[in-house]
Amino acid sequence: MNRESILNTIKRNKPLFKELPEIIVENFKKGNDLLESFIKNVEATGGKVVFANNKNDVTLYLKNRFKDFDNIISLSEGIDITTINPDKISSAKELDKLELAILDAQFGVAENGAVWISDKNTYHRSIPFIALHLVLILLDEEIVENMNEAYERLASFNEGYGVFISGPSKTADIEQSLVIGAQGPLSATIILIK
Amino acid sequence: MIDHPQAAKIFNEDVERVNWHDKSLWVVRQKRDKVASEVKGWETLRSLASGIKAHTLSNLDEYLIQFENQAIKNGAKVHWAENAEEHNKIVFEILNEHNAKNVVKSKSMLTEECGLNHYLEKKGIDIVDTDLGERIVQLAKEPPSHIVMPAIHKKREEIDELFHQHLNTELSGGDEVYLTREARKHLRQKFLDADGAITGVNFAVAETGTIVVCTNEGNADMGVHSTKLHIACMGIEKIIPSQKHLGIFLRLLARSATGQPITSYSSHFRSPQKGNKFHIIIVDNGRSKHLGRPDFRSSLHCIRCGACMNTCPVYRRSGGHSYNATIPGPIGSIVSPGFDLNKYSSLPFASSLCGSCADICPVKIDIHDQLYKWRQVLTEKIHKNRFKSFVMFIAGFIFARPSTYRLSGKLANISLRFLPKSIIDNLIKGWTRERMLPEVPQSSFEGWYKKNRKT
Amino acid sequence: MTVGLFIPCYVNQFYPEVAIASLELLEKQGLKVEYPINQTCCGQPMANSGFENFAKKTYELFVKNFYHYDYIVSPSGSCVYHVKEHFDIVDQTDEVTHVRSGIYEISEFLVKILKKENFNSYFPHRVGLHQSCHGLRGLNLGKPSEIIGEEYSVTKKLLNNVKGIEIVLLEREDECCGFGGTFAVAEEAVSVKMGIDRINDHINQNVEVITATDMSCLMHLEGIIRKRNLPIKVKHLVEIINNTM
Repeated sequence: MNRESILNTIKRNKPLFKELPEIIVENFKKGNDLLESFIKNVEATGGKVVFANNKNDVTLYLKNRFKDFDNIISLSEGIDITTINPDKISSAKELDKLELAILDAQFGVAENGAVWISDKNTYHRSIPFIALHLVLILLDEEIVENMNEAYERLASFNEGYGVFISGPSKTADIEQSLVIGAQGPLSATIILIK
Repeated sequence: MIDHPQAAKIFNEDVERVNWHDKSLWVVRQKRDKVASEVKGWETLRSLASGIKAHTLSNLDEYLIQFENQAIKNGAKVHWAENAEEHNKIVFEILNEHNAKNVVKSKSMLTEECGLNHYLEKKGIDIVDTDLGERIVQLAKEPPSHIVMPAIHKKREEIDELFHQHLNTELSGGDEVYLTREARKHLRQKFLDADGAITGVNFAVAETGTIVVCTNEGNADMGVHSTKLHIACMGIEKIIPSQKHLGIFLRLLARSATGQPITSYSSHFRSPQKGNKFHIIIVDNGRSKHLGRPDFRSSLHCIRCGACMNTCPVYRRSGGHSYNATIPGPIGSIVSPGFDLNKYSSLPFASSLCGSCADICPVKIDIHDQLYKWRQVLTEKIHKNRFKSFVMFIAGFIFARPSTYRLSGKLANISLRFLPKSIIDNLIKGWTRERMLPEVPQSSFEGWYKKNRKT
Repeated sequence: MTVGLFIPCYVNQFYPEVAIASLELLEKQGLKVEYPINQTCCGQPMANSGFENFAKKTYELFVKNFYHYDYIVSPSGSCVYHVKEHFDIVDQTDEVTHVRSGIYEISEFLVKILKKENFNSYFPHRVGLHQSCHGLRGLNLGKPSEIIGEEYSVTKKLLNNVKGIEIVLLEREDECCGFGGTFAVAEEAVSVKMGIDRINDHINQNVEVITATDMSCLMHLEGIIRKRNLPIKVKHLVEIINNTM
């Protein structure tokens, strides 16, 4: 009833058909150094960028940096520092005390320092949000210049969930003063693997 | 009921505060300028966004049907609400079905428009706004004053006092880090205790049945992933045809809204997590009617960035509350009269028609033109100010006839020079309280021309 | 080339020097300039207040007075904008169409039609340019600060060629002065606040003279300046350009 009424009013009131404009993605290309731009923009969001040669390096780095943490989930193959039994997790409540989450990111976007993750990178969607600190692993050649190119890359995306993450969570709701760390992670680190 | 000019007058009584409010928003405008200039083809993006929205509106029913089919295939349940009451009822029914009594909500101007919080609270549901700015105004029992920065009108000391009262924080002089950390603890508990999450929708993709929600705080995701029930509320105009169009809109949205290249999180919800429920409510509430207004329908392009508010010299100096509308500022002034011509009759006049809003709008809504057009509609439909009507008629009469114009000009010239200031002041006190009238020359230009040029 | 000079009603009454400067400047270029004696108003005050229907007869009189000139020139961006954009509610006869397309704000006319930017002007003062909104955004006299693109400005081109002038950069290059027609009285508090803020921007940069393409803006700013006895003056752009040694 609501549905029919709404659709009928729309049919009656909609304007004359207008063509969909064409998007020419190459026209937006700046052609600047992707890595340089990506790093600059991650840092501008309050995120951190670290370089590593391989996953062993990453493991060593994380063990050192987060040595006082005992509540860790790593979903990145080759970085085996998980301390929680994943089979025990079926809800966010069990993840409340999660201090560190390590996930693989599929690609990054240079213009804004964002990385894309989806269901295939995590077994519970709250993991990258509920953790106190977030680490994302990215291959340094998997960077596109802008969001138009990002969506070209996502053309066949058909999973149930995906998210562009750019930096840690933040807010400026108190007199426009930026605070890093709002409801999501307090820090976000991108580890770029050559 | 207080109108915009009266509310603005009160707002301007505190000069320090107006300056602070104006400066805060101007800074956001400057941030936007900086990041927009870093994009190659920014003006092209605007044109494309406008064109995509115009196309979508011209085919809206088809796209809504396509969206619904896809969403259902993805495992979502789709509802349609003709108006605010229907929307609220549907939300409550879904919550009731799931025995959900503790609900968390991320930012949604649509739910604000429908008065959802108030409705649910009366039904015994605890509903918590989880965006920090929204939480602040919720605790203060005020409406948001800006669609992106709901608490922009609040000073840190006021927030400090508010949190001290409601969250038992220590008095900190408004230390934003301390207050944000405390809010995090408070909201974390709300997320964990919640049994339902409500979100808004920034974009709904017809091609895939996906909804996209953008936040900086991560509160939409925290809410949705902490509970088993996700209710997403969207206006019919949130539809875009294809996923690739997100590339255009996401490049424009955060830059226009806060001066960031993108928000911390741009979440794409397509199917619920295993065992969870996902409901989408498609809401009309006057939008399909507005679609039938050729002069005003393009306001449905709006992606709720708030850039028009940040750039508007009037909004910055009167504050969102002076508009008394769910959505204030320039966009609010062209959308609200469509809902209630009487209630919002002062809004299209709350503008000097400078045109900055239309230039900054990422979807190229001709806001300043629509303000002008609404004025024509209002004077026709609302004859409140009969005196103004009469004066304008006389003015029209005078200006249409050269002889009467010349005579009245002479009279005006003479009267300003010889009549007592008090009489003139009473007639035009709205000018002379704060401004001197222009000095009257010996002769008008016409007089000079006749003497010096005309043979 | 014949030129009809359109002078806004309040300029005719209160600022004849602006009209005189406009006339003289155009005459100096060897043009045949006339001021149709039966002109009245462009109709903006009524139309912007929502009474455009009451302005129709005024529009018709305007066209009657001006259609036989090759160009119509006016020292008022807002009036020119109004004729160009809002005379669409009367019958679009050949005369109406000609007037709408042939009307120019004076700085635009000088630079774009006469293709001249230097008039041997002399004005040895610190000048702040107030970029009146209708001229700037409505007539594209310059690139507004919120538009992303290459800088350009017809008015700055003219001012840059004035000998002795020092053009001062402002904190906010193109914020509205707050006049807005009846807005000035209907929203008095905000209008005055906007005006004060503009003036302070100029004063903070030690501007001596505020100039603009619209006397309406300057009338509003001057009104505040004189009320508060502030140490700054206003002068229409055309007076500066027409001023020689």
